[in-house]
Formats: sequence, C-alpha cells, structure tokens
Amino acid sequence: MTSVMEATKSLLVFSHRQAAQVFLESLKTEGVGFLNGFLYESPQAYILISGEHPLQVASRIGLCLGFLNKKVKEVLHLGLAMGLSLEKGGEGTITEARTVYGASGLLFWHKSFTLSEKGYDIITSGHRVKKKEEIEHFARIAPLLDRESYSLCMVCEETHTPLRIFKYIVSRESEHACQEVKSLYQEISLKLYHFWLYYSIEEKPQEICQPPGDVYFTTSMAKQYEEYYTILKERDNLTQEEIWKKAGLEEIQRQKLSPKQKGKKLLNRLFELAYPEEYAYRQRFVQNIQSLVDAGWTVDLDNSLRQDALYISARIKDSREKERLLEALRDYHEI
Amino acid sequence: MKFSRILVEKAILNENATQKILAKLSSCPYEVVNSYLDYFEKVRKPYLHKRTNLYLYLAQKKGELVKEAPNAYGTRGESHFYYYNALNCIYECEYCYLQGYFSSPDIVLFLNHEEILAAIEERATQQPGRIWFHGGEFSDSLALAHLSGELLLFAEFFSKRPRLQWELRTKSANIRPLLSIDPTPNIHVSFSISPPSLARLLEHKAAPVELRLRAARRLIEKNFSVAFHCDPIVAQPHVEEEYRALAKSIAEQIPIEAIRYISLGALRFPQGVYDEVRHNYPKSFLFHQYMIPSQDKKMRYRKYLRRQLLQKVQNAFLSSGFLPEQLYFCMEDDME
Repeated sequence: MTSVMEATKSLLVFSHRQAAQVFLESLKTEGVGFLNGFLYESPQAYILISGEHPLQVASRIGLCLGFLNKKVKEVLHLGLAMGLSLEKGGEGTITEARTVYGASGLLFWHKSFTLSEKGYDIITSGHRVKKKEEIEHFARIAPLLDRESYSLCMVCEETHTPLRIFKYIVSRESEHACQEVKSLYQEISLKLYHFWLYYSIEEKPQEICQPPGDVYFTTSMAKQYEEYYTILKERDNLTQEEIWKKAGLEEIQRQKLSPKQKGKKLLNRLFELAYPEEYAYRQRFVQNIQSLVDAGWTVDLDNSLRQDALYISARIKDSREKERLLEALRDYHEI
Repeated sequence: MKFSRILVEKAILNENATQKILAKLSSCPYEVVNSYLDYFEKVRKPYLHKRTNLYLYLAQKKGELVKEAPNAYGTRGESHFYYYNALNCIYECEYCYLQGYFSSPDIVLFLNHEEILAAIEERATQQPGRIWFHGGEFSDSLALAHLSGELLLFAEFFSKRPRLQWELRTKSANIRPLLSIDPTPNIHVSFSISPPSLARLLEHKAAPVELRLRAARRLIEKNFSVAFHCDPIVAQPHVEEEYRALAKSIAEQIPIEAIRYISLGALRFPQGVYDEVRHNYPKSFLFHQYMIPSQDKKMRYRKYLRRQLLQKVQNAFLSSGFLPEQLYFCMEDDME
C-alpha cells in the first residue's frame, strides 16, 4: 500500500532443481542477469532455485529480491516437507504452511511466522533430522519438517514481501526416504506444477481497500488507515464508497497537495469519523488554548502515534501564560 | 475439551494426581518429557492455535510459587497474592490478557500442590492480618478443576486457617468439584460476568452468563461465599441499560445480601497484550473506542470515559438494591 509498485509476477521458490524441473521446461524460462544458474524468468513467473541449507536459502532469496527490486508481487514456495506426526493419509498431498518455527540443532528459536490461517505448522531445522529421538523432539512443535521455510520467512518479513508456502508431504516412515524422494522427483514436480496451474493458489481476499493512486501513505499511515477503515466498516457498516464520500476524498484529491499531504488529510478525516469523541476531546483542548494559539503558540496534536502526544512550542512571556497552559493541560487530562 | 497432545514431566509421571488425569484423558496419548520448559514458550505459538492445536502439560512448578498482586487488585487494605496452579485457559475471551502474557496458549497444570500450599503458608507467616490468595490469575480456577483435582486439598488447608482468604475466580459453571467441600467463610468463589449479549460476543467457549448465575446461586445455597467481577467493562452505547438488566437479573436470582462483593473495572491492556489482541481480533468491537497509554503504561480509555463507565455501572447496581459497600473498583487506582 505504501507505493504503487511495478510488482508484476510471483517468484516461485524451489529448494531443488528437480522439484522445479517441470516448471523450467513448461514455462519457457530464461536465466536472469548474473543470477543465471539459479534465477529464471518466464512470462508467467520468476523461478528461484534456493538450495536447502537455511543460510544458502536466505542469501539467495535476499539477493534475488534485491536484484528484482520490487518486481515481485509475492513469493510462493513450492517444496517438500517431512511428515513427523501426521495422521495417516497426509503423505503425498500438498498443503499450505500455517505457522513456521525454526531450530538450530535441538534448540528452538522463539520467533515464529504465521503465514496463513489454515494448513499445517512446519518447523525448519538447520540440520538433517534422521534420529528417532530428534524426530520426536521436533514433532512436539510441528507436524512437518523442512530446511528452508524459516529463512524465506525471515527475508520476506524484512523486505515486506508477501509469502505463502506450499508443501508436498513425504513420509518419514520409509527408511530410504531420501532415495525414494529422488526417484519420485519427476512425479512430485509435475504434481506441484499442476497444483500451481490448475488448483492454483486462491488469492487471499483483500479486506482493506487500497487508497487511490494519488494518495500516498507511509507504512505507519497505512496501518492507521487500516484501523480506521476497519472500525468504520465493522461498527458503522459503511461500504468503501460511503467511507470515502464521508471522508471527502474527492475534495481532498482536488486540492493542490502532495500525495503524502493528501494522505495525511484523508487520515485526519477518517480519524474524526472513527473516533468522534476523541476528536471532539482534542478539539476542546485546542479551543481551551486558543488564546495561546492566537498569541503565536504552536500546538500540534499528533494522531500518527497511538499515544497521548502533544507537540507544543512556545515562548512563555509571563506566569499568566504559563498558568493558562498548565490549566489547559490539566483540563485535557482530567475532563 | 480435546487436547491434541499431552506432555508429562518424567518426575511426576507416577504420581497419583498425574495418573488420575491421564486416566480421565485416556483418549489422548501422552508423551514423557524431562521438563515442560523444554517446550512450553520455547517457540512463539500463536494464541489462536488453541482452537485446533492445544497441548496440555502436566508439570511441577519450580521457583516462585506465590506472587504478590498489584495494588488495587482486590479489596482495599488487605494483602493479595496469586499462586501458580495452572497457566492458560481453555476459554477464548477476546479481551483476555493471557494472550499476550505467555507466548503460548497451551495449558500447564502444576501438580505439586503440597509445595504450592507450603509456599502459601510461608507467605502467610510473614504477613499479619487477613491475606488473600487468588487462584485464577493465570488460568480459570474452576474450568479444569475436575481434572486438576486440587480443590479438596486446598479447601482442607484454608478451612484450618481462617485468617487466610482463598478466592477462586472463574467464568465456568463447573462447580461440581466444589460441592463435596464443606465451605468455611474464608473460601470465596467469584464469577466474572458481563451482560449476556457482550459475553456471547467476547467470551468464546466460556459458560453462558445465565449458567454462571445459576452456579453462583447453587453455591450460595451451599453456604459458599460468592462474589462477582464486572471486569472488563467495555464502552458501548447501551452500557447502562445492559448492566441495569444484569444487576436486575442477579438480584432476582440471588439474595443481594449474600453477595460478598462486586468488583468493577474498565477495559485495559498492557501494551503488548493490546497489540496481540488487535492482531488476533482486528474486527472486535473492543477497539471501537479510542484507547491511550495511561500513567501505569496500560492502554486504557480516557479518564473521563472510564469515570463515566464506572459510574454508570455502579449506578446500575445501586439502583437494583446493591449496597455501596458491596462495590469496589478493581485496578482503577486513579478513580477513587
């Protein structure tokens, strides 16, 4: 929401080239710039072969997102995960990752990433997990295990890139799971391709309407916009058109202001609509100190921070002015 | 109540209390671990995962077993403490501070009850006068009482120590474990209540208010000391009417003089909890009114609004025949 980006395509991330094979063959891909060898472009999507070691994944995805510089609409990871504690029947299916946890050795990392409301949780391990007791240890945190998701989450969070993860579940029952997977790669790649192509990945509904292009919001302003918009929609049952009309968007748009100033005006108006009592309360304070304002004081009530913040600059000439201000401040807090 | 996994500490696996719980939950297989702390809060588990993936830990509490409650927590002029018998709650109240308090919604039941009682005893010897010990600070006191099974032991302990007051706070109607107890005047059961329409919107899975009131009446008939907490009071257009109806409903079902006290407190959150609640329930009507960080760093309504709310609710109870001395403000230091 922060700017109109030229984001056009999804970036499909695969840990192994074999899992991407059908995509590479079917989508008429070409290597991209100096990342040729692990980053490819087709008319439909970018494809990254990330490797599976967490550090390798983090460096490649970071490099790739930096190189493509906002051309990526979203990152879709299509990979494999080992089923640790799934009910029978989970193997061989493709599922979305809900929350991603991470571990280094046997120690868990506290931070987690929630990507979806549905699907299985997954834990990313820095090392290959083979021993029974290690599998049990990780299964207490999540039913699926992989080696790359956590890195993708970290980088995508840092770069504010939307991320969704889809995993083909392989069984842990098989003693030769690795060899089995290798022999099945062609089939798995085809399944992932069909999943992407036909079942496709349902677009998440955009609940918060985007402001028009000539209104600019910084990240914190966008957050406020979301808050006020949600309140007006949920509490007052207003539609997008009604909200904009009430906020006087057209009039704001006609004014000769920069996009950010327009954004600020729109936000102030939405604040008034969302919190009329608070707005009135603040107005009353401004009125209380009107004489000081008339005398050249600057008083600014900042809505951009959720705190009781007043920015006042003044040159106090005598004690009566000081008293007046203190009285107004007391009133502001005690009404 | 269905747990997706039960993890039991090795040291208490063979204890009676543990075996009883495992027998009651025999449909859910358990695993043995060295310490619940190897897993609980080790990763940040989203609060709403409790809907589909809730674990139960059976463990021993080490370290601090009793903690001093903040000022204005309970009735004035007396000391108040919490004790740790459980962490987290099976209910899902949208305003619940537990959602930002722990970084996991999983339930922990501490089964070293004797050690907890010893800590209470030790605390009591250091403090003269009446002292309150509250059980429902980090969990609902009664919701899982049929499983945790400590009530009889605790009742026996407190009944022999009339100076110590024992309060069980709940949003459940699970009073059966209490009915076998012979109540003494220092055993108090308090029900958190809201107007039913609000409870339906905000207190998911908790017992309906009507059932809580019925449970309260039953306990009063059994000579228990019963109290109510109207906390949190949420700003909304019909607050006075809603609370008037609630007060009337209580007065119709329960003799007013039998109610020990009613605490009133306006909605508030520590900052971290506020962010977490906003994240979990972005559309909740809890956020329809502006909140600001107050002096105690908690997010609260503006003072004038809190005063209005508390007065309205106070008036609602007074006009239904409740006595001023039965009402007190909870966690509202600056409202006196």
